[in-house]
Amino acid sequence: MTHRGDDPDRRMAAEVFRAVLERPEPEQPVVLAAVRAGGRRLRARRRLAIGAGVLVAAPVLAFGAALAVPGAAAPWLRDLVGLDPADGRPSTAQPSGYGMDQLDALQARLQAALAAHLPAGYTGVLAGGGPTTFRLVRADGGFTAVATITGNPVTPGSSEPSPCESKDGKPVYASDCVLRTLSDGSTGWLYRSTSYSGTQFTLVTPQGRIAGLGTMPTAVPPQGAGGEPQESKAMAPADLEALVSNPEVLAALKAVPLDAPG
Amino acid sequence: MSPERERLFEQFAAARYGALRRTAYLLCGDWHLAEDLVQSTLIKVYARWPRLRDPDTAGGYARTTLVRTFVDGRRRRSAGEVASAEPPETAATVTDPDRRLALLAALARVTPGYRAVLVLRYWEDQSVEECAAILNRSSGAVRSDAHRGLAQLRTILGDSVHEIAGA
Repeated sequence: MTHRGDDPDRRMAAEVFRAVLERPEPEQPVVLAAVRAGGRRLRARRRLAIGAGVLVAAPVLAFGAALAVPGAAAPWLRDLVGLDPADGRPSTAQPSGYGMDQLDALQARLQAALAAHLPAGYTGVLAGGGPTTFRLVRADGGFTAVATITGNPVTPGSSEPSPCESKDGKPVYASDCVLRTLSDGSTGWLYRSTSYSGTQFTLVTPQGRIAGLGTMPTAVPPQGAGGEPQESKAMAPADLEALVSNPEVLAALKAVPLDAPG
Repeated sequence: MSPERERLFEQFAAARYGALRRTAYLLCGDWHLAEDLVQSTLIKVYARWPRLRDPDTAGGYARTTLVRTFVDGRRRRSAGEVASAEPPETAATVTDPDRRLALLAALARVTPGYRAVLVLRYWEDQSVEECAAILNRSSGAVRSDAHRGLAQLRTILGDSVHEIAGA
């Protein structure tokens, strides 16, 4: 690495980086097979995302009727959206053996649940930058990016303090906090973020698990799928509450493991 | 993908793996997490590979993917947290036997977004404009984050900052 100039700050940072790397590095693992398998699955998923875009536009393009009946879609359209002609469900590539199949299942479950219970003014759900982030397509042509929320479990039966109240004098980045209790007994805070135009609904389940959904400032397409990140509009708190409170969406959110990638 | 393209990807992965893992390690502070981050990155590069035949382009794409994957992951994990805008008050103690671990701990206490900017600017030697493109942010935001990240690091390191800067 080269480090230009004689700036003490630059020298300090560079020295910290050099020092923390001062050690024999671990052996490099063999990852090529897993990379190839994962890359193939990602390409398949990208085709599926393109297909979802086609499905959103289908009524406009008058292809809706062809897609409405399982198995009735034209072969080229089935191929484009990744439908297996045998059963009308999305086709899947070979499992990679290191969790990609579970991630795919998790992503599909979340996407289906969100798509089935979209608030008024939204027309579809596209994949986001990772398996647990999505771009909700708005009727006005814009996006609302959402991401699932997880966190370290808390004591069952306990509740979280309001994010609108400062803890230990730390700054607060939330406003309009309202406490909600859902049909499954989960409790949580619905609030607006003050660091960007976003809304969050963070829940604690009766078992002490943290789950929820929040909007993000930028709608990012899947890596390698092409397209530029776009501004994400926040969802109205009432819409976010209705979406998360739906039992199917809630169950999908609660199924997101703590270590699921974004 | 054709066998020739597969071979080129193998060469690219073999040549870049070490550098990518070092950058990932500086970002996340753990070799296992770094390897996971690099693997996720290479998966995305492989998926894109048919359109990335120029190794120079692929290197930049891999760097961008690595850093964005790290930042996105941190952003999602912290979505439900109340962030602290101030660095911890306790300064890291830097003594010779534990120097590396102390510096690693200090680096880990820098806000992840700031840390990403510092790694790009002062390890990857990227310009402000290049950092802005990689992080999809404005140049002003990158300058501001670099300034704040350095201020955090100075505060965390405490008096030992003079020893380090003079090393």
